[in-house]
Amino acid sequence: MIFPKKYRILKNNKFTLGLYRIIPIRFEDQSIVMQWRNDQINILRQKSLLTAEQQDQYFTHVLLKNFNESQPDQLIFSFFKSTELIGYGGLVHIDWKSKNAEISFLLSTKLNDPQTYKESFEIFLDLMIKLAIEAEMHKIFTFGYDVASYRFEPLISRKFNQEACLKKHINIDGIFLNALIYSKFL
Amino acid sequence: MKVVLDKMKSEDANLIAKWKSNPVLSGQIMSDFNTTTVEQARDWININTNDPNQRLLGIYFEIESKKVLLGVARLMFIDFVTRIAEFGIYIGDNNYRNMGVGKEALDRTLEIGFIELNLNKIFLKVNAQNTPAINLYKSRKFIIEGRLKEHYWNVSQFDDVLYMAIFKVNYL
Repeated sequence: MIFPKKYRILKNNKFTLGLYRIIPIRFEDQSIVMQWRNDQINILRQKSLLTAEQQDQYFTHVLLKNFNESQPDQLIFSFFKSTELIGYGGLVHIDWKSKNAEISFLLSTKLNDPQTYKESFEIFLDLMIKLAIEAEMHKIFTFGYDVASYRFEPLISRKFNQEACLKKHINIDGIFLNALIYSKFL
Repeated sequence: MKVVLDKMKSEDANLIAKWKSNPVLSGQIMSDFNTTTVEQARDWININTNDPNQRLLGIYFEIESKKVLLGVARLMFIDFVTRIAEFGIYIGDNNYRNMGVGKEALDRTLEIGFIELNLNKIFLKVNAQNTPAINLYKSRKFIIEGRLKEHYWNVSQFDDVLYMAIFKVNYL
């Protein structure tokens, strides 16, 4: 299967910053995305390891539909540095009436050292701001568990404001962590 | 008046369809407005009643042996590892608003969450303009954990949305 190269709702579907770019997610990216999600399950709102069959169902029945919808609830992109696929993410839980959306981001497991993560996430946020403006959003936000402060530094550098600290909102390996919501108006 | 919470039945679908098709009510509870058929409402009841990570309860006014549906209370997205759930409620029948029905339903749902399900935390999202609801939650020791600015488009303006939460230790 090959996914369309454009989301119907967007006029512009490719966003570039230097060596980095995002393009609408490709069907062939499903295996590596599944691997990353399973590797990093602890920081995701995912309860169990994904199987290849579940991932194929998700790509075939959920993501494919998004391409042709007039108001998809998510716009998912593959994230490249030069020609290397280094992550994926996009706008999810899109509320078209209130014009807001959550940013989803997952970086390749092998690139998750703090410095590479910060650099990559900053670029990804810049690309998401471009995407959100293209989608005529009023506000974008992130929801993340407070596993490490470096993961939130790119949000602060990109002028996102913390709007909520949800105390003891997740238990990972027996430890309660807060969930933080950061947002930015466009 | 005796208010009871009970498992919803397929015959409640008529009222659920009517309430879900009410744009004013949708705005008040910040849900997506969709015109809903009785069949769709019946499916909604069945799916959510059978969801193991949810407790969907009808709020009924009981008189003699007859029960009249007034609204819905839910514990959603129950995470039994973190022991957390999101609370949601609405009173669909306007004639029963401001009569303490919501308060009784909240108290019963907290009891189910903290005592029967042994949850550690129950949270909710509420429109920051909904002062009566916020005051009710504060009276039950919910605290505000966040304010999402201009987060909900309500007819002609953006409203803020509050995250509120209560922990079991503060409930007991």
